[in-house]
Amino acid sequence: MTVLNKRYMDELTMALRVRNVDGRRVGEVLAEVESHVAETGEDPVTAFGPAREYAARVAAELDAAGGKKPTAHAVLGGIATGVLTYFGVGLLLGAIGSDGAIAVTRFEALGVGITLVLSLAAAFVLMRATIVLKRARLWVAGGVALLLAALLGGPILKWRAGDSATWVELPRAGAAVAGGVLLAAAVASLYRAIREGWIVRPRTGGDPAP
Amino acid sequence: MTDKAIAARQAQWLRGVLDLAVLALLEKEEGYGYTLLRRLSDAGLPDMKAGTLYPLLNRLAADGLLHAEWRAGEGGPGRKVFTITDAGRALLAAQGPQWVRFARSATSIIEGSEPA
Repeated sequence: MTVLNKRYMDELTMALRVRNVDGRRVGEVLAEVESHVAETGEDPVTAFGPAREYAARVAAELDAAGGKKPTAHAVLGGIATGVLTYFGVGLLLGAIGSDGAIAVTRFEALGVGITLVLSLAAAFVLMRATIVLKRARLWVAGGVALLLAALLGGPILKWRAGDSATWVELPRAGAAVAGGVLLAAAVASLYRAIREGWIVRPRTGGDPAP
Repeated sequence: MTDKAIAARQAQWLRGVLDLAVLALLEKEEGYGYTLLRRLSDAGLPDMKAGTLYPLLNRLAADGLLHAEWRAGEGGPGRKVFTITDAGRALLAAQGPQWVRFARSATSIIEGSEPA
């Protein structure tokens, strides 16, 4: 594979990934391009168009056939993993470092959770802004708005709700178990996301991605 | 009209009929991306791009109209070979004649020989 073709494949891989095309499908698309270019000797840009535009076309056809998970799926999965990790680690460390019951303030339970969700949503929207072919400014504006809400929302909530008042108390053992369960769920969610992203090249004689 | 505008118009025509054309070619003989491009070119559609055809083939396969299978290439990388399914044949049988009627009517109008 020439350096230029390798560069095209790398750009295509990245463009397909950020469009939430699963790893098995990415492997198939790359194999199709590789096979076509090897057989025809054509330049991939001439045959398939610029990598970002081709990735957009592939994703659009997959959308039409219902073969691509919606972006909301990845966003919600990322947010869920972040929230589970935050509360899982918090509860587990609280249980380890405490002798008695674990006191959770309203700010810890709600304010930080909301800040975390808004921050992750901002990261996803800003990432999306780098790959969309149209209305990128709208995506950037949305991402910045979410980021501002995340930065300002926490302090405002803390000021309104107060940080010191205990909202709920958990027994130490209960907090440890809850923290462990939440962390295990976070690891499972992360593993599933990573597995979906693995690029699997098609095997000859095998069925293509569903 | 510029070359670009002409190409854009022809691409628009193709969008309406390409899936039926691909199904018709695959009904005669199985094929993979490159051979289908050549067959389309031989049949009078020379400007079809791989970047248009491959996603369409995968959509038709996802819709159950084609069956896809990876096979070893001759001394090269594998090839994804497509065959038409019963559902694809049924769709072609139902919509092929409709397209032909539509194309005949459009041709008559453009040639100025439409019935009064």
